[in-house]
Amino acid sequence: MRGKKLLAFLMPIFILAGCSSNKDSETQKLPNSYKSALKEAKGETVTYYGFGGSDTQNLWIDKVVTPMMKDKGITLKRVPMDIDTILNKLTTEKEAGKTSGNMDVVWINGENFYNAKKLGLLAGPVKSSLIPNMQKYMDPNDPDVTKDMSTPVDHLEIPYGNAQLVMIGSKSMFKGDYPTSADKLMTWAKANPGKLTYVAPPDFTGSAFIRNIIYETVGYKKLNDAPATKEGVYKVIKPSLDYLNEIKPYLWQQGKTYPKTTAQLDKMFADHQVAMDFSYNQMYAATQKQDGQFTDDAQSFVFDKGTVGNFNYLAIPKTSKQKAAAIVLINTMLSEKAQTARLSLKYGAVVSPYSADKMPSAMTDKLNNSDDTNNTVPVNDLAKKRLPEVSGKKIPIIEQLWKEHVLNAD
Amino acid sequence: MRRLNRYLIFMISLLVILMPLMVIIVLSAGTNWHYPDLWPQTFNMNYVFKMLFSNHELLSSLSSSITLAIGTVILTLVIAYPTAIALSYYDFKGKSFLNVLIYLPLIIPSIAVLTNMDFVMIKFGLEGSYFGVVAVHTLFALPYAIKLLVDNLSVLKNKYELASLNLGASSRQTFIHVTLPLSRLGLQGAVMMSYIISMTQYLGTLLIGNGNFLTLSVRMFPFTQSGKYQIAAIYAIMFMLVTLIPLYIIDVLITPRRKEVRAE
Amino acid sequence: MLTKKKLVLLLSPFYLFFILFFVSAIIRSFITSLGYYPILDQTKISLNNYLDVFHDKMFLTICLRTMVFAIISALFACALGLIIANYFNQKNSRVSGFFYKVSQLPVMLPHIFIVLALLQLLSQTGLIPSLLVHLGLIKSYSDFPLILNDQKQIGIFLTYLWKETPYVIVTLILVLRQIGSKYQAVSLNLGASKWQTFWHVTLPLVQPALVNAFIINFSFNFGSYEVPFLLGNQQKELLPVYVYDLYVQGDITQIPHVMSLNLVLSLASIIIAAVAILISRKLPGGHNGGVR
Repeated sequence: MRGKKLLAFLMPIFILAGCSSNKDSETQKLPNSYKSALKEAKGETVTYYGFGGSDTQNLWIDKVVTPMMKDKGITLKRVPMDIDTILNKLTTEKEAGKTSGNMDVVWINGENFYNAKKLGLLAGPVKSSLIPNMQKYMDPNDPDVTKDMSTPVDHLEIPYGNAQLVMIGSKSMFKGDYPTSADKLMTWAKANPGKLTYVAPPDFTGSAFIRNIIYETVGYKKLNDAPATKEGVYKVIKPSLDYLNEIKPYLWQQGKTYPKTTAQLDKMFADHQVAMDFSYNQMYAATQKQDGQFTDDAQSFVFDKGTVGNFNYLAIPKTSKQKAAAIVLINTMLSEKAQTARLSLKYGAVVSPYSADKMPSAMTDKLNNSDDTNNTVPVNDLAKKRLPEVSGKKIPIIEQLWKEHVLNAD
Repeated sequence: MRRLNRYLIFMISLLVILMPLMVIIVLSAGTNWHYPDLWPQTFNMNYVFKMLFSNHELLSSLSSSITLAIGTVILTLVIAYPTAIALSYYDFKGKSFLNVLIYLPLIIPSIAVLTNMDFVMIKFGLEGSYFGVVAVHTLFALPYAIKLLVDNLSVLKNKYELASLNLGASSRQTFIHVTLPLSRLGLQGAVMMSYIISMTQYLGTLLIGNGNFLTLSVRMFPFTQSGKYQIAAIYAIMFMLVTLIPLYIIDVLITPRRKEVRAE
Repeated sequence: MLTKKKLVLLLSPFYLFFILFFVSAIIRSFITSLGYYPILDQTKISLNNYLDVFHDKMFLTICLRTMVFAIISALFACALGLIIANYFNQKNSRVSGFFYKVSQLPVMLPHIFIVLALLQLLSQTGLIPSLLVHLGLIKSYSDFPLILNDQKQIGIFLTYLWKETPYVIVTLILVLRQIGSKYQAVSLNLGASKWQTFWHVTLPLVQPALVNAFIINFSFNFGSYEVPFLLGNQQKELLPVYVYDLYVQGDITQIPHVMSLNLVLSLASIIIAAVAILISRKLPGGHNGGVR
């Protein structure tokens, strides 16, 4: 009797071991040229998997990219899936020995790219010769084209969007004098207790702000040279953690709690509960104003010594069944037409990943002319004040150290 | 005085329950809502209606939500009903074990269960299929459905069935004329809960569904996460409509017969 | 009556489904937790991950905190639900019928809605502080206490209460309706007071259902992620958030470790559920669902 029961419970093991992975070899090879990709992709359906919580980006894909793809005879399907879930899914598929999946193009960067590369989940090499628009508008030696948060890209992903941390200050609360350095920020905080805070990591922007403080206090180079171990990073960023602890009692709620999401901080900022907000989108002040969330009171600025900037990318999973169509999709997304449209406020005003010297002048003008009305920082200034990211491997370590030494310090 | 008291309690309960729902409705139609305004500066209900009934995305996700929910309700009942009968009418070895086992899907953090279920589903070749997703939803609906049925059935135990059998009815007759009517309220509860559980599944639908089933929850959740409260609120209203209307219909269909169900 | 064949027939759908889809998933996470993770070329099997768990002070603290929190919130929801269900069940009028319908509303809506509404209502610059400012009861939002993301987890507590009290009410009213009012009527006819009737008749009758509702709520409070993520306090982190962060935060080499955490904490909460069932058995009305 007992034996029988045990057997019943062990049944799944036998089933799992017995089920040989379904080896449908539908997976395509990467095409040889863009021309052949176009030909091969005609009449197919290609999927795009990416974060679905940005209505402006969804709109851009649906209203700009989808019609462009349709003209090429390809149907585009957008699936809202965040990158954590995508990686989870791809990893499981690989573990289960599944060789063909649903995802054709995924939106990825940083730590996630590092992991995906390590696990061998991505198809490559996607050389720039395959993507005409990459060849035309991107310098192959651009640091962001060759490295994603210091992980060599090795033609496994294609730049897709340009992000840089910007601070958004309240004109009335700062009286026009924005804290453009860590020291100024500290002085202001001490004079105005309870009026500043940042989103707690592992949120993207909160984490970026902490890195920016590290750059201000110890410099990018030191952090970049530090070994990617907890001890190694701790030794280097100790002064930064001290800084964050010094400012902590002057933060909102004495730094005992932090907003959980950028949405929460946005609301606090809009209600003038705090004087400063952060965003990874350079044009955030403008898009939020358009949305009716912020008013003219919100002014973007950056630190004098610069802020962290990174790119986000597009990649093709190894399991994609439509690699030709995926190539076409990536090229379409990078076209001047699509990228120019993407700059308008209704599509989120995302800055294109084009290299500064290859960007069409129409685009640069459009960006530069809008600073005043938009309360944003001019593109050229942003480019000058752009600091590189550290290794994706160090980011979780920094977040962990923040949690131990700042959040739970008392 | 007592009567007044009662109405007071009633009103307070009503307010507590309904206030958050009102806020969601105002949120969906209002923009420029800042402290300390009690009402948004712009309020446009038309926008909401336009979104609700012309938005292709919303409508398509609606249909995939409902088809999955119906499948889940059926599968859940097929599994939960016999289990509940066994648990509430009979004593058997391993009953207490089973009693605890039932709660397991709720207890283990879902990300862990789902990742591993995804693996299992891929092996079975069910990943991305309708049945696969329904199975995941069912797993999380089962604890609620079984417990509601057990609560309901064990109150009366199987005395009436025994009487019926003793009077010479066949077991099929007994089931149709005694067991089923007696468990109608429990069944109603189980249908309701499994429908709701299916409608609200997010991660499971996304992972096992492999992007093939873009339900209301799948579309709505990212918006709540990134603070697009207005869009989230519009989805929320749609959600309320499609949950409340079918459940209300079920309720109406069942209520008139309630008298004969009463075991008095 | 109960032939073995019949029992097998009744239980096989459940076991079949459970073993195929759920137990197999658990077995796989168990294998991973032993350190068998071929995708990273880790194939050495050991119990080290489990030994680590019991030395992980942070995890144990968080585990205990979550457990206490889940039990307390579930108890409150059950107590409140019992009181309200009993109160409205006594009055057989249109008002209580209507109330029963309304009280089903929160059961039908996902947690995320109430989170959305609470953020709008109770954050320091939310609607309720605004209202209080307009009424002149407080001077500015800073006089309003921090309720969301606070150290005492009031925000999460309120969300659970709003969602789960109605669930308790609905389950109890289903049972109370099934029972009908005859037992209470008998008790009252025999001269028992209202309180005695409630304590000695109604409560034992609904007790098993109440315990079931408690376990369901406890399990949910213990394992769900979204609400503590959005409304919780970072210093007093709760387990699901802790586990989720470990899961998605970069380091995939940690997956076997995370799996062992999952299994340990599941075991802990299974024990709590089992204890609750055991207590329920010992209480009046426990063994046979109230009918003797």
